[in-house]
Amino acid sequence: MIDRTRTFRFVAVLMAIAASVSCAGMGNVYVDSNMDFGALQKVVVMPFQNLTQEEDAAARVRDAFMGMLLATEAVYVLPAGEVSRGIARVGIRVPSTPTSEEIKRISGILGAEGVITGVLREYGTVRSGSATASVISLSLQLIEVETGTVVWSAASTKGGVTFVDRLLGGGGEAMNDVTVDAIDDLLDKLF
Amino acid sequence: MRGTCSFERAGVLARTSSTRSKRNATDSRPRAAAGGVGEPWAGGRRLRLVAAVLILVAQVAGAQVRPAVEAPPAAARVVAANALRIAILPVENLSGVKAPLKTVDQLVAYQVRNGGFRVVADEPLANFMRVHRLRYTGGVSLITARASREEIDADAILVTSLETFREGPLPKVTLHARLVSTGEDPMILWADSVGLAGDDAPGLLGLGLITESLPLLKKAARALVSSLVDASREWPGGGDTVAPNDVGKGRRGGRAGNRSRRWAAHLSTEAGIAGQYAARFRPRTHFRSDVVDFSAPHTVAVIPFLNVSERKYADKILALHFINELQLHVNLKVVEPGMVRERLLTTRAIMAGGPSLAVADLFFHQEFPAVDLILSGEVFDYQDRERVAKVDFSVQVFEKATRQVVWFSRSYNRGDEDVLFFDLGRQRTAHGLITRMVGSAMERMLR
Repeated sequence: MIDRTRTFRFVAVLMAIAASVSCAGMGNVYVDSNMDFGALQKVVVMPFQNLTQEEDAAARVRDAFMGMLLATEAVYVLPAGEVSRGIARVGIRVPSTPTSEEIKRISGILGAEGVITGVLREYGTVRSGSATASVISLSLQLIEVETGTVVWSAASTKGGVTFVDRLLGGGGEAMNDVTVDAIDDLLDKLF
Repeated sequence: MRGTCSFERAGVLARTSSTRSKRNATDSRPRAAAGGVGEPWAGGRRLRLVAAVLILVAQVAGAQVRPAVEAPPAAARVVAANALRIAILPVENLSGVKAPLKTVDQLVAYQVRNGGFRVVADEPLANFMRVHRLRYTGGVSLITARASREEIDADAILVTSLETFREGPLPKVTLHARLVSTGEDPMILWADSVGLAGDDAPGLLGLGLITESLPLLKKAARALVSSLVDASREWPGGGDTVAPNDVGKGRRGGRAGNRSRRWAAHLSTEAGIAGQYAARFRPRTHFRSDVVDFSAPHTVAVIPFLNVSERKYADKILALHFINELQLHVNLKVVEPGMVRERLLTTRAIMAGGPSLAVADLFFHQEFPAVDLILSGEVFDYQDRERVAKVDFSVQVFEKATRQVVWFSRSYNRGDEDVLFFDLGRQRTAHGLITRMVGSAMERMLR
């Protein structure tokens, strides 16, 4: 005879564990509940800070991010050349980490309501034994220009050596594909 | 079409009397080998067997190595001979390595003369270049276009660029060329490119492998000029008079058609003539604005790309590919890149991170040809010297009225992607890869 009470308790415990695990992934996302994201029509994506060994990694990832953000058609993303012109006009010394004052000035020149900055923490190939794989770790922040405060931030890490890679070897996914995965993840966290 | 004659069919051909397939007639070696075919054989079984083997070997070995070069039909040659007087600028070397540029110049000039065009002699052209201090041979500025019409009586200028040159056991050659009219309103009359590798068609037992660069250069020059000759036949009057505005009307709707198919695998104009590119060459990301009707007439200026790759001149190479693709579309007029360069130099425009609206305004100005779209982008990777070609670039288009980006796409591909069996579908040159990627991107933008 089935002990229904015991079974019920067991299932309840399992569900509680599942709920706590599923909530754990949201720890790296911050959203300002007072921000009206619908007011953002135009955004500026500043050059990303590059903490990796590859010189042009930040430029590649930034270009991919700008294109994918533009493709969402949720906001208009100012082109990189225009951003460079704005940086030169304002005289920002470190474009990847602008101050609040610099953000206000550049947004005034370019007519943007939001500024996105980013840090590329990891980009390239990792090795584990005989297996190699591409990995990327990127964090982004959206700064509202009027107050100069961060209204959204998120991070994403994709790629790496999987169990299958360890077992069967292989080079993993291409770097560009891993980059697209990470950006997709970030855009999901934004919208 | 090439080299597909079976042993049995060869035997049948040997037995028939006067019927000769059109395919055999267009292949140089089979033509020679088939000289005796068509006469009834009085010999025995052994003689018939030998003849069949010879025909089969000739078909397989000859057809894949050198597609026959037909002389233009007599009528077209007479018309073309009265036609354009072309000044051929020295080839611009974008390969990044030392290359036999004088040889390329001679080969191209020879083919152009053979195609029935009149060519400005070397000495007047050299004098003209010295007087005007013309060092940049990758484009035609407005000043050069005017002066060449007045001083050396050139109707058009042929600009050639060498994209790839690799010697060795498997050489690679990629050539671009475009014909630009002279006078007050220079415009691109024709543009095309060809990319060849020594192992494009290895054939049976590797008999079709080309191991030296000179035969490849000859093939490339022949292919390009053949494309020019074919295009000139579509011009009103068969090419004997060229009114720049009429050349555009000579092209068919959509993409220009009726090109020679002999070089179909290698010419950029043929790469997707049906407008169908394999799915793997499509942009990975793209954005297309609805505010612009891309099917309406537009004038496009292609701005130099931003080169983030390690390959020198990758920015110019991508720009050339986009020019080749865009000028095929009837509704688009592409500004000659030499004039774009002239404009950027005279205004001392600096594009640190790519084109800005300030740079775009230089071309949206009324004094300049009525440009309403500006195309530019970034090149992240361009590899052609290694075994596997690899290209990674993004492109964006600015529009005049809205002053916004109306098209963005990011494309990246390798030459060996989705290649499963016997290298079928493999792109051996970056040229073939870029042609398809650019064609696919522009097809999505313009449809």
